[in-house]
Amino acid sequence: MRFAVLFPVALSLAVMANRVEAHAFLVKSDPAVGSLATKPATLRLEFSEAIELGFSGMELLNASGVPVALNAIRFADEGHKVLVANLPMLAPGIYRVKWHVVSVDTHRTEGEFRFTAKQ
Amino acid sequence: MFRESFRAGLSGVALFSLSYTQSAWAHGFAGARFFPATITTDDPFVADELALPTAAFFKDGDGAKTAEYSADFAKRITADFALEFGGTYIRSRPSNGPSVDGFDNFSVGAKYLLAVDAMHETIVSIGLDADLGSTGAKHVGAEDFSTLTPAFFFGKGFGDLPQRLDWLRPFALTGSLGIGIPTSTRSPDGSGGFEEHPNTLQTGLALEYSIPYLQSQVRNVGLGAPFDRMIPLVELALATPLNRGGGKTTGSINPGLLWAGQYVQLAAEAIIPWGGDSGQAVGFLAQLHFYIDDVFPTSLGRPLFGE
Repeated sequence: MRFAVLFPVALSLAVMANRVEAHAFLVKSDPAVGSLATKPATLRLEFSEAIELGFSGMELLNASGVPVALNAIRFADEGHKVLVANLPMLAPGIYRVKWHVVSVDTHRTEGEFRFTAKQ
Repeated sequence: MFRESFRAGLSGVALFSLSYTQSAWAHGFAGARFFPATITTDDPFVADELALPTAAFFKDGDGAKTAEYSADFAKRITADFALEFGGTYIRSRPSNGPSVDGFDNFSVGAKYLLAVDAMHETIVSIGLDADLGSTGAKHVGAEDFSTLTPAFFFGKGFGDLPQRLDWLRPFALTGSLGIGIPTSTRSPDGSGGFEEHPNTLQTGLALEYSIPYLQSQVRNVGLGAPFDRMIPLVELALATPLNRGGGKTTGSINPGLLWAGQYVQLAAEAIIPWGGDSGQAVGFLAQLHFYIDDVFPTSLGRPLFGE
């Protein structure tokens, strides 16, 4: 019984001490998920973990499913958790963002969301 | 971008990373859907994970106050195949008799991931669980025969619902259907007769509403920590005797809440008995669960073979 108590405590402490990496989840985005955005100039995705740029990407599709060119996808931070890309002038309408990332410990995650652009 | 990087640099690091990207999903992902580890019902995916402890407190069908402390460990042998081990320590205080405690029979299991459909957030597995007879203490009810349970597992996220049903997209349903087959059909009941051991239909269902999915896929409603990682759920676990005069369906319906962190998951559920034969009062259970594939991503959290 003592082992059953001590082991999870020890494992929890080890996790906190080592600050290991894990699956990268989307924490925040700009434009925000499901939001109404006025003339967005950039697309910015913030993840919970550092990611590998070479194995990560994002894509923007208009309401007809036609890709919109994203320029200069890059990190926006030194911690390599924030991806940013320049947006062309977006016509009003609904857009879909598709993303996939590989965190630095090689776990892969993906997702997508919509936002609405207005003038 | 993936292709460009592949062409651009086959450096050692890139090769290392590439070799992992195909199946390094580990714990329950199907596309954008993250399936948390459910407590009462078995998961539809294979993963490196450790649930320690799961503590349950309830009054059983005979009115005995019971506490159970369980540990479950799953280890991927390959990316799609895992072995599982479980043990439970029982402390029971009958209403008219002395307290008893000891280990229930230990269990081993195997699970194979049949298919993952990322687009439809669907995951399907099959498995075999064995409760090993005579490995536990008889005085806490551990049987002297084994029970084999072949089972089918599924998980389905509702993210592919049409846009007008956006608020329903964070829902997911997981479940399992198995047949518990005892290796002995009857055994002496201690008073000159026999106790029959029926085959049982084991049904498990879990309906989840994922706040992380809501905020990252549908609409960011502005919930911050700790609510942004919470997943309310209701679980149902039933055992229905199929033959040998087995009696009524027993089990419980468990509403509760999960908090899925980066490395650990915390969960708490009420245990509402499914009829009088299942228990006499609402119980409670809680679990601390470690995502071993995230805690030890380069060692214990990886499959033993292949990728």
